Amino acid sequence: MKARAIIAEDEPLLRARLREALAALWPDLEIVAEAEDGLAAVIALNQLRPDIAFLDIRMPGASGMEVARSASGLCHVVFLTAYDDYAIQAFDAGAVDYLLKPLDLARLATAVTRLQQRLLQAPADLSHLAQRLQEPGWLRWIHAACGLQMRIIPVEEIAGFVAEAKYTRLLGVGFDAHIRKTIKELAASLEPERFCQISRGAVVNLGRVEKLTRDGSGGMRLWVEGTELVVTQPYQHLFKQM
Amino acid sequence: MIHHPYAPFTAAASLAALLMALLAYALAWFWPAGFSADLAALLLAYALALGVLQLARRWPAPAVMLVALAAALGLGAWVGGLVAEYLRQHALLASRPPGRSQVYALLALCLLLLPGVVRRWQRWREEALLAAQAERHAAERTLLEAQLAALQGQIEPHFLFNTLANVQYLLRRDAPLADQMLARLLAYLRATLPEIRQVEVRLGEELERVRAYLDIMQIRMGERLAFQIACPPELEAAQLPPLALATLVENALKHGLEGKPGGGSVTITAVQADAQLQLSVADNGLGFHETGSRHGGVGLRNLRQRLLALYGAQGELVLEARPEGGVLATLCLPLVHAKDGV
Repeated sequence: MKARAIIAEDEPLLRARLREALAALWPDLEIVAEAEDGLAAVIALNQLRPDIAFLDIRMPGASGMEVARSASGLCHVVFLTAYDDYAIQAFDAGAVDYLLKPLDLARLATAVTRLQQRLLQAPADLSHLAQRLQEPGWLRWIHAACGLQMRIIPVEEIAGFVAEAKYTRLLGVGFDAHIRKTIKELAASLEPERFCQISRGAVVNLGRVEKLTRDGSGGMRLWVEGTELVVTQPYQHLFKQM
Repeated sequence: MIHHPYAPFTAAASLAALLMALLAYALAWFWPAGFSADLAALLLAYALALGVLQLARRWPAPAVMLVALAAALGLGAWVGGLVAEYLRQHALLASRPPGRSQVYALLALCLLLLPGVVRRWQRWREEALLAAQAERHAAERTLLEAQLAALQGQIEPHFLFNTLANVQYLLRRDAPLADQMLARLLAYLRATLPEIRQVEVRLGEELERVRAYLDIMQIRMGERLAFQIACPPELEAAQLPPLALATLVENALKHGLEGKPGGGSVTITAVQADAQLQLSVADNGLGFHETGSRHGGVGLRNLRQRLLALYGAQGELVLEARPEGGVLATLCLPLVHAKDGV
């Protein structure tokens, strides 16, 4: 029985290069589909059920890692990449092989031999692959309305967020900007080492706090970019050591 | 430890002087001699002056210090003089012409306070010098760090290896195109490596490098990439930090277009707006994910730091989400033309 494979790679010339190299090294291998982005690769995998998938790691749509996860247990996976950044994780997770671009024919021949042996076994479980590679999704950029513009601002340049009647206002960006996210949403999605909620209506960038004062009656206030903010009782313990 | 502006004038010194003033006052009654009355008056004046200066510590500013010093001398001399007059008249029953005691007290007080004031003034000058130095060093370090980071991040391994992989294939299939791609890669590398060591480059050179990069990416991405560059010839001699424009363009491709199925286009425009050079890079790609990875946008953050270090408030990088999708990055710098032959 002839083995069937798909190639998922967004660069047309590199796709052709792999196809031709495989044709020379493994004439019996049938390339049943070529995909130029991750989504097309997932569709091809589900429709054609190939034995082998050659997946580029960086692709539009869905990354090779994500495609591999959806192919878990269905086919043998060989990753392709230009740079050796995920190799160890890919091997740990059970990928058959991992090829660097530009392709080295001798190295590709080794991969082919390995694939031919592995074809007799069941494909590895890769379901936990992409999950493991995901980083926690802290907010890095804020899309804020500034007049008619929608500005994109890196979070570390924002000194704080203050709730106002309808919107949340940004402090310390040098212009008037507001967003629709609530303080509660922000507190949950901003990196906790950098940002800290100080009341129901305010989150501050700890690196931009200018001054912290206490009064005799247990009140606590912060100054951020010249704005005075009250630290309410439930949040005061965060500043006890300051 | 933080040096306090009024360190020589402490509350303890003030209290001690007051105590001694009281002792001298008592002494003047039991040992009626001219010098004991003057001593009591002087110590009291000193205690009062220290007290005033102590009070002024709450507002640590040179202006307050000067006012406080004048107030301390005036109040000390006046009250001290009164006490001296009173003691001379009632305890010693001897008298100098009225008013003279205040003058003596003032002179003595000046001498007493002089060392503290001189020390304070010296320390202020040292602190101001150190602060200015620290600020200059911090600015220099930020610039160096940003330049180093730009250097480290600039030639992306992915870009290099993928381009070479394309060349490898083209060598056998389409040798003239492979040749062209290698030439563009060399132009890109040549423009990148020396550039980073300079503080500023010409816009024309930077555009050359950007064009080489986009040509390469166009061969690699095929139909998926379109680009336009519009720059009036007179702006080609304008100066900008190395890799400033390249960072914006590479960013548009990396975060906006490479990941977008079907690709898109990028438009680079240079215009003069008053005394500013305005560069914009617009793409119709995916835009910025609010929760990008930790490494996303390192080049942009780095560029912002360099702009701040080089131009302060005169340099600006604004990122906008375009209503029709994609990102518009606008870079504004003071317009400076490079001299010929530079």
